[in-house]
Amino acid sequence: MSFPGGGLRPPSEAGAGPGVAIGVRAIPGPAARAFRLDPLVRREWRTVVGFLGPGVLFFVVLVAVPTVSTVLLSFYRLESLISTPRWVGLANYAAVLGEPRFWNALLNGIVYGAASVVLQVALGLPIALLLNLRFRGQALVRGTALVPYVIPTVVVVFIWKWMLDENIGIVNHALKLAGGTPVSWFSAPAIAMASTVLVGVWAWTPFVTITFLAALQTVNEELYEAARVDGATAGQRLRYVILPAVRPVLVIIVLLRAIWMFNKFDVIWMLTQGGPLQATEHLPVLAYRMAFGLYDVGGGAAVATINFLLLLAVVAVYFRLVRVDET
Amino acid sequence: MVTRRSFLKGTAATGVLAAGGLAAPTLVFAQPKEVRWLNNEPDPNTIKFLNETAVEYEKKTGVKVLMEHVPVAEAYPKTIASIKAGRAYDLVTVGEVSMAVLLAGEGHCLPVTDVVKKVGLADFGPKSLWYFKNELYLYPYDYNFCYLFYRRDWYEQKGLKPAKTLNEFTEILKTFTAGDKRGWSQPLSAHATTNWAGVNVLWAHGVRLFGDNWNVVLDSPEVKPKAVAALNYLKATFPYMPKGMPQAQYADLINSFVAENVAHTFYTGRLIHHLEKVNPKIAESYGIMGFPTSSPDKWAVTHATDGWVVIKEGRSNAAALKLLEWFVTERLVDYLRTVVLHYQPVQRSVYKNPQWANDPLVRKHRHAVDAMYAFLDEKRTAINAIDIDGPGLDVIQGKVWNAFVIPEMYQEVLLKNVDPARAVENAAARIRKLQGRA
Repeated sequence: MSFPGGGLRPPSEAGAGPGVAIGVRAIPGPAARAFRLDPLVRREWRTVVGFLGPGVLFFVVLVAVPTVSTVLLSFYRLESLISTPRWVGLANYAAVLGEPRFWNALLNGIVYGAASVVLQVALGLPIALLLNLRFRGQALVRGTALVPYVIPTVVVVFIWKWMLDENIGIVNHALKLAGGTPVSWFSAPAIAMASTVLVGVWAWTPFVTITFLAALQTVNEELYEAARVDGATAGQRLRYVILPAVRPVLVIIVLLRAIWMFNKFDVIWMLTQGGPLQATEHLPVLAYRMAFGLYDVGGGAAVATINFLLLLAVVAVYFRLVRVDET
Repeated sequence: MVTRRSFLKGTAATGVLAAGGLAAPTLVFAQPKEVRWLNNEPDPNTIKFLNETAVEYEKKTGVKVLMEHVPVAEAYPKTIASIKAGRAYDLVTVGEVSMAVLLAGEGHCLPVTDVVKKVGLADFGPKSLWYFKNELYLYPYDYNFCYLFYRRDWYEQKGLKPAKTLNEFTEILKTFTAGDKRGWSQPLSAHATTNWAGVNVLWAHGVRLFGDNWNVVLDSPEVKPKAVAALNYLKATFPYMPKGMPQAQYADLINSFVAENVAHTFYTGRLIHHLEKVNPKIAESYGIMGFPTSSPDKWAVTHATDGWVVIKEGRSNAAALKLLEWFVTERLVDYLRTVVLHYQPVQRSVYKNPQWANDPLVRKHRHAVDAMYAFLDEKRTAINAIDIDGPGLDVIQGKVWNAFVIPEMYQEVLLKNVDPARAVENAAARIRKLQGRA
């Protein structure tokens, strides 16, 4: 669509006022329909390209191309990346969706993601409230609270693997000293999922805490004071002052943590590799196992694509239900 | 207009170009060839030796050997990635015959039959040479037999002798299970550890996965009762295992023995090297044996031959084959001596080699080496493995391995209390399904 004068924007926008940084200007005369970026805009574009270029390049190379490749692979049957691919259309999807193992993995992902997010938020918010109080050694405690988050994942996993070791782990040792029975933390199908959730909660609750803490610090002190003066109890202050203030952060935190936990591969792989008996196998682990263990690259790609589409759908529904700009 | 300056510049440039052009073929010809070798043996001694050998080979022949070392699990994905990326390795160390089959099946390997023949087919021990489409694609160097380690001193204290039958073995396991001590570490995890170190119990019961025509015989009238018996054996001896076996990995097998928590564990001679380093007391008081079977004069071991393959897409095929030939004829013994008790030679001549036989560790652990050598007697030893079971080599063996069919069959019985007969049927069905997609 064009506007009088040939611009792509209304005259009021297209270079009509001073200080318009990015825009196009109509060139009068024979080349009235030709547009040239003025020198200022060209300079700005160089800046824009300079800043955005590397990011866009990385996104294209590391995200877009692999994503498109994965989607394409899901329509082929091939045993390894060096096999000759054979077009099978949607057959991989039909096979995957007909597998009870896929549905088990989906359910495991939902359980793992939901349990992790609920616990991380349920623990992260109270800890943030405590850390928001003024007390002696506050800075030290705040720093210490972040420690689990800054420890590399591999180290976190090994710490917990050793602590929960069924024979020599300190947790079972303590249980025995207390007269209890040692627990098969990672060997019993019914307990393994809880153990993996526990490790994730320990490692990532500090992220939730620190984000909430940052949000709490933006709340105007006068609001607390006013609530106190009006006789609000601690619970009422939490409900009517604090929670509305941190709601935008809560929305984003729940979304991000849910996506991250649903896709979390490293912790589960290193702790249990999806076992025992697929008790902790979720879609990313299943995709990996199919592609690189079961010589079904197409099937693995189909699982990964379904996982991607599921997350897209969840994000869309989530933003429809909880509008960030309304929070 | 041609000035004196521009004329001189032009002449000089033309001269340089001409000189370069004339010299180019010579330079290309003189450029030393490169052989890229991907090694998956992680031991520091082996890595050091290979790096030094690479330097030695370059000095000797002018061919540069670029060594790259990765953990065993990364060798296959990296090999595939290098082929896909158009920069394939020339020589790759692989940890399973199935890897060579997978690569050869897709046409990515060169036969090494001639190299093996030059060394002498008769020199190779049983079940070490694997033909695929009438060619050998893997040059094997060690057996990686998985056998039982036991505490000789504990046996002596109780007046026991190594079991000759499964029933005797059960009784011994029971004897050693008390307090925090357990009879044996038998891996049950859905992990390569169980595929390798947890399947002797199957061979001991005479279990087979495939028949002569690649038909699945695991649930056949002949084999099913044996498989059920093997699962029942695991069920009966489960209380004699330490906790955590359903998640056990290689290190757990070693650690449980080194830490004196169990009377028996499965491993190769690498465990002896660990004992020497970490708990020398046990290095003086262990024994090794095959896994008892129902027959008193037969025992079982599982093998996992390591070897080298030459990748077809490598840029220096001829140089790689030449390097392999030189290495296996000139440096094999030195290579095996880098972890001498772990790399059990597949070539009989190595056992007689004075350098190898007089290695201080071989001399010190002669009883263990003699037992290892005894495993080569097929009349006495049932040798099998998931990746070689069947009438030959096929991709399906690798799939059964990677799908963890056998470990999950164990887990169904031991963790979910599924009836052993049902678990065998489930496993057979899974193998057939994997075959259907092959």
